[in-house]
Amino acid sequence: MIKQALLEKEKQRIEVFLSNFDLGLSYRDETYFIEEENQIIATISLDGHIIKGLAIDESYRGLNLTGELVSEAIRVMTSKGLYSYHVFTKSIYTDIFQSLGFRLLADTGKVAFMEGGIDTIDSVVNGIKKRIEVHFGIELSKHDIGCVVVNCNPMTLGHYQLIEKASKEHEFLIVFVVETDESVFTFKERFSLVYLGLKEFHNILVLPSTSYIVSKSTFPSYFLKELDEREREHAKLDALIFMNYFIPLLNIKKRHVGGETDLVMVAYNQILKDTLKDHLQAIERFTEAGVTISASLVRKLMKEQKYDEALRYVPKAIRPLLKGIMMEKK
Amino acid sequence: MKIGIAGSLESNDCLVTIKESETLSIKVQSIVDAFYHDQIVAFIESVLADVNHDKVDVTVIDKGALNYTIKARLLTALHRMEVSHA
Repeated sequence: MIKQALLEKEKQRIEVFLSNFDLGLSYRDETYFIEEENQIIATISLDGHIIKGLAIDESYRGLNLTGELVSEAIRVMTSKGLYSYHVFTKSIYTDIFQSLGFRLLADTGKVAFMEGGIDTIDSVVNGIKKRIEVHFGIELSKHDIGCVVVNCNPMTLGHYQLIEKASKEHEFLIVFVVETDESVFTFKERFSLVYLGLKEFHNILVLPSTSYIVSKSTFPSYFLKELDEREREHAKLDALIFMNYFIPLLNIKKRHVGGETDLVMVAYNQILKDTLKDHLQAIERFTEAGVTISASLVRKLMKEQKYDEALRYVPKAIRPLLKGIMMEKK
Repeated sequence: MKIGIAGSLESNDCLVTIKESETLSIKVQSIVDAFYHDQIVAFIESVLADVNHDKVDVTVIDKGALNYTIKARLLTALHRMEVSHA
């Protein structure tokens, strides 16, 4: 019988069980497990629409416990209205998931990213393609397209200048705003600010990043402080998906990234560089009067309640809106 | 978008996902594909014809279900799709 881990005691036992498989639990995970004679023999975890942490005791293999657990996971997600699922798993388990109808999207040799359910990455990216073509009234394949992926937490003059520079190097520029909500500013706030801040550029289109670029699915560690080995693999998955699906389907010539100081971002950009190669272009970070402009600087000033000083580092067009949002967060 | 799901991925069962669509499309992935893929697709077509449904996307992941099971899962998924508010 499959049970949900609700008690702290159960979660601790599951953590011990998972540590045998070199896996861990995060506080957001919803975990289900199967017991036999008071021993945990199999587990699976959900984080929204993401399936992960599948582990089965060696001596209980071959009973299709995976099928049972994944069925339960799909039942739970369906009841929440989620019909598309992503899977994070070790590369050695991709066969099992494929036999359950999941499609492999990226594989680093250690970890793999798969999807199941009604949406497919091809339909999502083709949907984006149509949106771009309709917006600009163009046929994508005939034009020089550039791309920037930003979190913009919140948008600063640094972002603005990076995007402005990138927009001059291409006929059209697509700006993806990271959709995952793990930041001080919510996705809606960040997206509105970027949209407003870039309104003056007629060759730029601002879009949500989908669950395939720098999302909790493709890259859970983006929102952490530093990268360990496992997280490097996740970053590779993210880069591979961008390389294999977004670049060819959207005819993207280059993805531009800003110079970074933050350790995670430096490591991430290096992984992007290794994967995207010529498709990646780094742009120096902008400074103003010796100060390096970054979103973290703006957040720091905001925390110190130096609102007017914080607003100096963001584009003029968004100052009133950002001020309003900051007051709300006070 | 209206969606219905029924069944499971356990042995001798199948997981059926049905989505409203403009046209009829049937996708089957089965552990017995090599022997019965075409027969399963034909059977699904006949069940859908019986209940006059030809504008749906059907995805079936089959773990060796018998025809009775496939039919029951299909009809349940169709029913769930019709009452869904998604």
